[in-house]
Amino acid sequence: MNALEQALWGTINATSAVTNLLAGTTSIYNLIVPRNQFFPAIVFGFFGGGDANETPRRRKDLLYTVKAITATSMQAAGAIDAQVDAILHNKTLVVTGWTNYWMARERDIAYHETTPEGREYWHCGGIYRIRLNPS
Amino acid sequence: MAISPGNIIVTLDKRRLQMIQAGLEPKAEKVIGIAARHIEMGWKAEIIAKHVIDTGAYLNSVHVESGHLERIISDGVEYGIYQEFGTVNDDQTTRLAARPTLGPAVEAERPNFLKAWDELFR
Repeated sequence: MNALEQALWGTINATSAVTNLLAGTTSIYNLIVPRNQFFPAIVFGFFGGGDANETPRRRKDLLYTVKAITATSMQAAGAIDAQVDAILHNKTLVVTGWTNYWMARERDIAYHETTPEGREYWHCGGIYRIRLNPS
Repeated sequence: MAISPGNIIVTLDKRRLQMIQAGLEPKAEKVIGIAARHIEMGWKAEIIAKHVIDTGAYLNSVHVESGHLERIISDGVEYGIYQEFGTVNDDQTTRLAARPTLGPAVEAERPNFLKAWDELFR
C-alpha cells in the first residue's frame, strides 16, 4: 500500500535517533536492501492482512514488519529496533487519503543469518498492526 | 443463593452458566482443531501462490501437532524463517526478499477463529 509505506518511510527517515544509528539517513528500504548498500539498515514490508469487509465503511487491517539489520551484533540491531519501536508503537502515522487510528507492535522478530561465504547478519524488529479508515 | 440483609433478597441463577460450561471443552477442541487445519491449508496455499517451492520440502513439511486445547502448526525446515522474513546476503542464490506465508495464513483465519470462539460462550 504505497501511501502507508511512504508514511512509514517518512516517519523513520525523519527521526534522527534512528537514522543516526544507520549507515545513512536513507538506509531504509521496502522489502529488501538493494545490492551494494551498507549496513546497518532498516527493512520494512507488508506481512499480511487487508480489507476487513465487516461493514460498508472501508477498513484496512494490516500487518507490517519493520526490522533493523546489522552486520555486527544482535545488540546493535536491537538498539535500532528500540528506537523504531519508540516512534511506531501506539503512535499515529500521517497517511495520504487515510486516517491511521491504530498502530501497535504485536510480535517481535529476531534471527541470525549466515551466508555461504561466512558473512553474518543480525535481524531484529517487530510486526506492527496498522488499521486505517479512508479520510 | 439468597442474601437477605433487611428486606433485600438477591438470587444468583447459574443455570445458563452451567449450560454453557457443560460440553464446553469438546466444543473448544473442535474450534481450535478447525482453525489449525485452516491455517495449515492456508499456509500451504500461500507457499504455492508465492512460488516458494523448489524441491517441495518446505511445502510438505508444514504440519499440525495436537495437544489438549492446543495445536502447534509448524514447518520442518531450517530455512522457513528466511522465506518468511527475508535475507540480505548479496550473492546470486540466497538473497531473498521476505515472502511471508505463515503470517498471512494466520491473519486470514483470525476473524473466523475469534467469531467461533465467541460463539462458544453464547
